[in-house]
Amino acid sequence: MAKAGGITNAVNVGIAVQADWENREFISHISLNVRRLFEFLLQFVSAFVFRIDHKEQVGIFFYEKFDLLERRLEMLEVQVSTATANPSLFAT
Amino acid sequence: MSLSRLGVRNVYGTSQQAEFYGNVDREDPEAILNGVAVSGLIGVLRQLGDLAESAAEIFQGIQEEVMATASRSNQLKMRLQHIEATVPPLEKAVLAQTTHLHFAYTGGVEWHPRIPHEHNHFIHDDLPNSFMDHYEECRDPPRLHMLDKFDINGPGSCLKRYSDPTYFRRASSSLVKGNNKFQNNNMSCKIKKKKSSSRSRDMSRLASMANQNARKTFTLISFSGQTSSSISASTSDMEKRSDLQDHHSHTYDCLSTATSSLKTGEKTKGGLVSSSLTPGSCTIGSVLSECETEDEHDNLQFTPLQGQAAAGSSCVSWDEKEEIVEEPLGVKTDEASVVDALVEKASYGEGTGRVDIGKAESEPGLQQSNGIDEVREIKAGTEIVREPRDSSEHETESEGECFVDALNSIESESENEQGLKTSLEAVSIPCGVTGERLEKSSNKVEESCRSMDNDYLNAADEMNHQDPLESDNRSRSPRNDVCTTSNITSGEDKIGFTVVPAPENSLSDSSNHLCHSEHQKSEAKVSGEVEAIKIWTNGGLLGLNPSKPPVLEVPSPDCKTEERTLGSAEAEKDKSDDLVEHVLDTPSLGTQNLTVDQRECHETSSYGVFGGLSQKLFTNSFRRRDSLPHDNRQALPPTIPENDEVMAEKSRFLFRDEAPIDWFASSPPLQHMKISLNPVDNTLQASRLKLKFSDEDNNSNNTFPSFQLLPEAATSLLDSCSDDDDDTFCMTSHIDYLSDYHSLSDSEQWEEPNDSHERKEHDSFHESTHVDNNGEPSSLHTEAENGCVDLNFSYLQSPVEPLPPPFPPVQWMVSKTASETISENKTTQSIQLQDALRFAFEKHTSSSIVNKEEPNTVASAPKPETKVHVKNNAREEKQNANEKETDADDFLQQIRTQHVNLKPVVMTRTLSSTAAAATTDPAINIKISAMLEKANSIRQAVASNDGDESDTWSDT
Repeated sequence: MAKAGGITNAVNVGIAVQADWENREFISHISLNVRRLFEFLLQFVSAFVFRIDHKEQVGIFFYEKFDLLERRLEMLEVQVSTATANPSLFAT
Repeated sequence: MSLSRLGVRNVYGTSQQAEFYGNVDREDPEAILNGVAVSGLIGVLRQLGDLAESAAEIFQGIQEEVMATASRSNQLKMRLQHIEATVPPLEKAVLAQTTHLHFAYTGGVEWHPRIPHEHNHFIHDDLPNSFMDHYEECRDPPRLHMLDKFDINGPGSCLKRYSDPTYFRRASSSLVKGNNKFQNNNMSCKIKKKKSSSRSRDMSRLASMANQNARKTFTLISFSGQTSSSISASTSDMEKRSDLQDHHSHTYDCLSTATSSLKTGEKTKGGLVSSSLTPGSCTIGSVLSECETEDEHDNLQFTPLQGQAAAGSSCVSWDEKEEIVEEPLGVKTDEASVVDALVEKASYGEGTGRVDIGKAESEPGLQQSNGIDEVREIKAGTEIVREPRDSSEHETESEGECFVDALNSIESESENEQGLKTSLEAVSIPCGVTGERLEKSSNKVEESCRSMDNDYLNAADEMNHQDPLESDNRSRSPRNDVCTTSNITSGEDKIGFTVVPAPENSLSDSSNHLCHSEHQKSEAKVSGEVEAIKIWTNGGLLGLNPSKPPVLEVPSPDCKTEERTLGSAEAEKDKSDDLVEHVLDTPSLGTQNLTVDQRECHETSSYGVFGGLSQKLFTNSFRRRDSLPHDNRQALPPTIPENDEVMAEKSRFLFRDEAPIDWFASSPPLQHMKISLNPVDNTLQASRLKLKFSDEDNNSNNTFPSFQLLPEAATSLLDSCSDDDDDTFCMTSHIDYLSDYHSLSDSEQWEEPNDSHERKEHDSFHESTHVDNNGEPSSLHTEAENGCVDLNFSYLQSPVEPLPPPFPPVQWMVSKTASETISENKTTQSIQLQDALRFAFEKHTSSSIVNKEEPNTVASAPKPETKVHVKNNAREEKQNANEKETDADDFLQQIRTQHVNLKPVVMTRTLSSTAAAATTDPAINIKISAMLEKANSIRQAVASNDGDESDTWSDT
């Protein structure tokens, strides 16, 4: 019985070890995929978010265009306001 | 932006992992394994959590950016809609105008957009998250607003008082101002020390002007300050305004904005309010500007000056602004004491100053208080300005000083220039002298060229030692040294070498020597020609061939097109003299090249300048040019190799007896030109031409042996060898063949008795054999006349070849026919002789006296022609061979040892041999008959041994 018990324990341990290896493999797969996700995010940040956040790079065109439009619009507003405020200019 | 990159931690690297399996019973492996698995799963979950967090940050940032952009675009859209709504009535009004001319007199809008400053990065909105986190984590300021009720300044004063960020900035700026004042004082003292009395007046004037300008600018700034100071708001607004001044008031843009705000009143307010909608208005300055403009508007309603200003046209010129600025200054003079007191108070501390301001504002008489404020602001502005004014003064002074220094430097430079000019004049005067002297010397040289006297050396010495300055210049340049040395060395002999520079000399040097002052324009031309000359002059060395082959294609377009001055003509003349000297000194070397070069060089030169000899030479050269066909001239190679010269010399040696050529008086004949200008590849042909000439003209004086000059034989040899299928024959036999053939030709033409004797014997033998074979000498003669004899003879004489050899080259056949035509007159005699030989041969064969003549046959056995003929006749006389078998063995051995000397083709000598045989004596015929007997015996012997193998007979 002792032998049988020992054998059964050994078999159980072997099964447990095998299961442990399987679990480790599963965890390593998950971890690897998570790392890949991280890598993707970092690349995304460096490729898109980082450039948008820093106007000096890709987003500079966009922001410069915005600034230019706003300035021109401001100039137009001033001109329009001036013209509307001085109706005597058109009173001929 | 995250300053540190995210790091994914290991699944099992967490510190809490031990908690899951550290407390597990060590004896239970399953528990341990379960704990490890759980910790791994927890690590995975942690990684997922980190991933989610970073992804959330990232996408949150993206969302924020998108939202900001959307808000801006919405704002733009709103503003555009507003403009679209307001533009149509204006458009109608503008279009309704009959004349738009009056718009040109309107001042327009004095407005400048407020570009938000991006310099304050640390308080800007888009700070990094790491910094923003710290800002966000900061506590709020203390609730000082709760103390406002105890402050007389009203609400918000306490907060600004105790938490004013601009306080430290003002304090630091005051410290900087103090330091600047101290430094300016020191600098002004130093500058005053340096100033002279006369310059100080100018400087004071300049400084006053600078002050005036600075006053303009800074009073205008103070004007803007006035407008801002007229705000009856709290001190915080003032501080903000000061902050705004720090940010914006240093530019005229802000000034224009302030003035426009003064003048336009509510108009600008609207504009500024609209500008507050911009995203740049998020900054402090823009926010403050709104408050300012509002307060300004409130205050400007009560100020007479501003009302006056507003009453004016919207277009305010610079002078008007200046007047506006000066008027408060006048007010300042009236109330200077009050203003000074106020300024002093304001300068001590903001709190007290503000209190005073508040007091002043609280006084009755609002206009007066406003005027005081204005004055105070103006004073403050001037005070603010003073420092810059000082600085500007200092700058102007420094600039003036620099300007004065620059004047001094300019004066010094002008002095230096004058000195340089004087020095240049001092230099140029000797140069002119040298030019004159050079001209004189060139004239001297010209005279000397014409007279061809021995005074050339003196002239050259004069040229070389004209001026010490020139000698210095020469000493500076090594080329000049070379030139002088060459001139000296060459001037010892002839004038041409005294004038023409050495090939190492540069063009300028040559022009220096030729005509320094006159030929500056024509230096390039002269230089090009000098280069063309220096190629073939070979450094002025006499008696040597040019180091390089002469370039015949040296272009001289300038000589053809451009007008030449007297100096250039002199230079040409000098070159021509050089050429003459070269021709005279080197009569036997490269005369062709020299003449060709000379012709090319002197095609365009002026002819009147040249002397008699040179002119004669030129005429000769022209004759040569005319004599030369145009095709030959074009066909000239660009560079004539020296081999041609050698060949020309050879030909000269060959033809020296034929046609004595005066190389200097007359042009060489065309044939010489051809020979000398033939390329290297045609040397063999040229040598053949030489042979022909020598043969035709003078044969007795030809010292060369006949066997050495055999170009035709060489060509024919090549052809014959190429025609042979069996190389073994021509490999070993061509030497003898050549010698025989050429000896034969020599015997024909040169009539040398020693060689011709044997040839005659051979020829007679051949004739006899042919007669014996064919049996019809008349047919043989006709064949020889037609030129087809070679074919028949070769077939007969070389039975080894089953097929007759191909025709010899046409050229060779032509030569043969020529020789035949020469010997046509002797054909009749040869026929008779052949008949006699035939009869004699038959007689000898019938008498069978072979045993007596064996030694003769042995001696004549090595003759290859006899063997061949014997071989041909072997079959026919096989019966007679049986009688002489014993002797035939020896003959066979001899034949096999001597078979190498067999010639494949011997038909060429047949005609000549017939001609020679015709002239021989009957004694020779007897010998020939004996030889025929021997040959017959040999033939019989060979036929007995070989039998049917005669067709396969070979040299092996």
